[in-house]
Amino acid sequence: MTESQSRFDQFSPVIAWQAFVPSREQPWDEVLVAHLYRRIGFGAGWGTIREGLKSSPDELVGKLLATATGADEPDFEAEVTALRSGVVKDNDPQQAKALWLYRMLHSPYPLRERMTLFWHNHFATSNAKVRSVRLMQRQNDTLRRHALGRFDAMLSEMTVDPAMLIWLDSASNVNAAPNENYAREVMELFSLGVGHYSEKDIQEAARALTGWKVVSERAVFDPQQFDPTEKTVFGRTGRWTSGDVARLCLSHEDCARFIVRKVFREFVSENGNPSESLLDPLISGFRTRNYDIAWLVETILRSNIFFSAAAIRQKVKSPCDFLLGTVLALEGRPGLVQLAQSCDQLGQSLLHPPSVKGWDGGSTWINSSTLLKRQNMAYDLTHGSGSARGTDPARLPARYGFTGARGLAEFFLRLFHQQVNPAALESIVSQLESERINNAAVLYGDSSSESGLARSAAHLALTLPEYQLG
Amino acid sequence: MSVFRLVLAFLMVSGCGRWLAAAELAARDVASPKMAVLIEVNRPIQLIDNPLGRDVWNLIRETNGLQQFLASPDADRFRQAVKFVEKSLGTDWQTGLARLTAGGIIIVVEPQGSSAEPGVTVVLTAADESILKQFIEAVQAELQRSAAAGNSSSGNGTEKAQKSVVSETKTYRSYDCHRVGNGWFAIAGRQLLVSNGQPQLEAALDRVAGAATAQPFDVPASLRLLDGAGKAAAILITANLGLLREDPKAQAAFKLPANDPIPLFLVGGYLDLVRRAEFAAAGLFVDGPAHEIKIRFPVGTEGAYGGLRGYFASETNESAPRLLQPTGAIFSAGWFRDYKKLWDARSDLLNADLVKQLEKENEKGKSEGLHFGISDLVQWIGPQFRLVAARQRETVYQKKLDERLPAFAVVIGARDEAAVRDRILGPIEGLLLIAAGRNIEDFKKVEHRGSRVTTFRFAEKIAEGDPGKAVLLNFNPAWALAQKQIIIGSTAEIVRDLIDDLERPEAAAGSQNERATDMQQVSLAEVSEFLMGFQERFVRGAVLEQGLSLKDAAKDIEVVHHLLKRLGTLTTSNVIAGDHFDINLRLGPAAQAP
Repeated sequence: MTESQSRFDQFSPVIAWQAFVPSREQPWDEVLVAHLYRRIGFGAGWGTIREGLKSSPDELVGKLLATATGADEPDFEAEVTALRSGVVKDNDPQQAKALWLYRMLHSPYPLRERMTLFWHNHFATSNAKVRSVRLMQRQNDTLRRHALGRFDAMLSEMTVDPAMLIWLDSASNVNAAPNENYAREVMELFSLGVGHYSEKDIQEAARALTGWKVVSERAVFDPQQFDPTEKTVFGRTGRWTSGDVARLCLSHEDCARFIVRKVFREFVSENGNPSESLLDPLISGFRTRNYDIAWLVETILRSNIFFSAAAIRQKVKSPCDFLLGTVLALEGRPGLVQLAQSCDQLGQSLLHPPSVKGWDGGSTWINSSTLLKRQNMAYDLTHGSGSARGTDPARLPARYGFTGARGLAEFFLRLFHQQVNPAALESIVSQLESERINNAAVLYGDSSSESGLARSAAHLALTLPEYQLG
Repeated sequence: MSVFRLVLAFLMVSGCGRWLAAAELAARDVASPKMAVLIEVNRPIQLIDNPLGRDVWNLIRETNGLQQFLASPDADRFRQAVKFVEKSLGTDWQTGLARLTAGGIIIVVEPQGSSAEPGVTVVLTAADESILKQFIEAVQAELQRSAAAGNSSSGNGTEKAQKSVVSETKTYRSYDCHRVGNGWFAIAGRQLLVSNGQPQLEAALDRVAGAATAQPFDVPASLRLLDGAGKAAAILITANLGLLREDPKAQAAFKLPANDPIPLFLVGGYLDLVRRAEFAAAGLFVDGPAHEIKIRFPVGTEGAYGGLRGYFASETNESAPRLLQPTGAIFSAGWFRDYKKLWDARSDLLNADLVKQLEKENEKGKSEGLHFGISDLVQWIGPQFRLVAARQRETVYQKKLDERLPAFAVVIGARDEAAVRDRILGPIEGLLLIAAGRNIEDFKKVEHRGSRVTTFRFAEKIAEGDPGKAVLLNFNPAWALAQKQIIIGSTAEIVRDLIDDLERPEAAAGSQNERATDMQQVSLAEVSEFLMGFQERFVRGAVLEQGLSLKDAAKDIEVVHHLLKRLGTLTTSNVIAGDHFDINLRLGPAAQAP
């Protein structure tokens, strides 16, 4: 049994999903607040975490969920719309990625962006084949619209999404020559998982999905190309259409389980395998509530297990988590096109997942090459290089009352890790003191240059291995 | 006379000798005839403190871009240098810098042979001796302090002798010469002399002591550039072109007859100037709210390579045509090139094989296709050419583009209007109608001020099938013959505007001795108006690429527009006379007539 397994097993299914109430053994502190902000969005700065501490967990989760599922914030949406029309007109994929990062960083409802990214990885569609920023943006809007809505509606709409039709060759799935690509993936990757369907189910579903094509960037149904005859899928026979395929998958007993496991992995832990009994309350609730994603996410976010050691720092940060989390902590405004390129270099090219399976995530984010790149990017972000000029950490410590080498080290350790490891603290202080002396040796060096020391302290704190866990 | 008095007299004379002989170095004292580059910064503080600089600074100081830069590590070193100047001189940095450089800065670069690095000598003349000494002492103290700090940080507990920054001091002609790293410096009165070579420093001190024997370099009078009011340049750079001519690549470029026609016809005249001129000078002038750069070659039409006579306006009645300024003109250029003269001199200008090849192409052109060759073309057109770009005001298309390209037109002098009309324009019209077919429509000829304007537009349906082809909706090409000028434009609007402009009376010609041979003008205010059409793109770029908020991006871009309007116009003109050739650039509002 692995350590993470044992962490899950300490929770009974009832206790696991009860709302977390702070106690003396588990107080409401910056560790938990930062953990919530990392999972509900992409992270937060010092001031936001301090504000979060003033609310109870219940209040804070409620506040963050309310903004995510409430009415759109018109000013923000107007900003995005103003930017988007040009991006679509230019068909510029790099700017399209940058625009999404803009949303992730500045949206008043970060959970919705978190979930949009989750569903983008779930219904992984790549612009490399679609080659239309307009269609990718439209799909992204669909995912966002349904991100915290109902999974059944999302699955139905994604089945006839133009970008998806192109990506999985549904646009060439015709009566005379059915293409099984989407039929296979809708079962294997989008709703049921491996092993819960047969080849016959795929073939029959493919026939039911015929007739759709993309004309002038719109999904159009051509009855001439549709197979109207009877099909048998999952043992049920009828003159099934594309809408029926989605409905049949949803009614399959494994659908809710498959989605719940994925959402659990996203919000709780990607280590270990939670037992069926642990997840049963979520699975049955998700099913009986007609695949209400908001209910599922809210239940997890309020839960004991979410605020426990079973979840905290139990995920390897994706490139987006790493970069956006650092920018949010530094309260900065970097160049987003370059940030998107950094994300690409770390293996997560937004709107361009490597395959229909999406990104595997977890420990696959880290290898010798990407780890080195993360360290270099941490340097760039903390030293304001190039388009990272807007993320200078130098002004932060003084703003929050931290000065001197020890103060700087403590500030950045708490900012990025929410705790001060004594050995790490002493190591950073020692390096800062050495740097202060070396600065004094440089002509025109200002021996009391707190700015340079602050940048160094931030960088050193970011390079600790535990920063890669979120 | 007693021995004592003799010794006293000797001491007095040697002491007074130094005082009597000591002179401040001028540029001619520091440079030798072998120098490569001589830079004289006559009024250093004026480079920072001038009306244009102040206006630009006041506009950009609040932009987010500049604020971000000033807060970044890149600006730290600069800020600390400023702090050092203020600390060491006890005054604000502008006053400190002005006093330190009151007498100007001279920089000389002199080659030392192909294997050695060039010798660089810098002479900085302060307002007075005391401020210079104060500054040097502060620098030395700072160097000592940082060296000591570096030693103590690398020390391993054992004592190390303090490393002196100044590694050597010698006395030369009673001046103390100090070595720091690979460089040397000395102070002579209110002048600081710095060089990367001991011989160069000693040569400069020879001059100070009045003991130099080597020939100094005298900048020729014609290269002592002055502005309209007779004032010397804020910076004057004199370059020795003789050194350039020693370079094998340059020699290949200067070779005539040439092996490559393209550089010859593009820049042949300029290469000839460089080939003949021993030196060239460039001066920067601050003229009220504007800046001017004047570059001078002290050679002109006299002595020019015969075959290149067509390159510049060489005869007294030749010059570039006046600049055309239709409504919304962003860019306007005019130049003189007599391609007929260049063609007639082809055997002088090009090697025999190239000449043969060109003549073969010429004959081929006469016998095939449009039935005219190069020799005919150069006979019919020129020698005055103009190019104009202007904002479009109207469109002939239903579909309105959000971002429109500027319209542009070429205006070419027609020596033989009939030949141009019958032998060039007519056949091209015919070919165009055949080639373009259904892609063009509304092909028509319209009268405008007595000239016939031929125009067409593209079929709008082209852009429907292929959004990439929407760029064609920027064009409805047109051409006309008016006032002995061929006008070919990307839109009928600009062709009509140019016909109107050609009607304007010509300004009085300049002096016969100095004639403009090339002129260009960019109206930065019109550039600003043109760029308004791309506002959305710039804002988006500022937000997504620089990380600005929408509001800050819009504000910064507004500043760019104000800046362009403040800068006004960028004008260049090349003026040729018998004994010199000047390139003039002016950035700022147009010069006021005296």
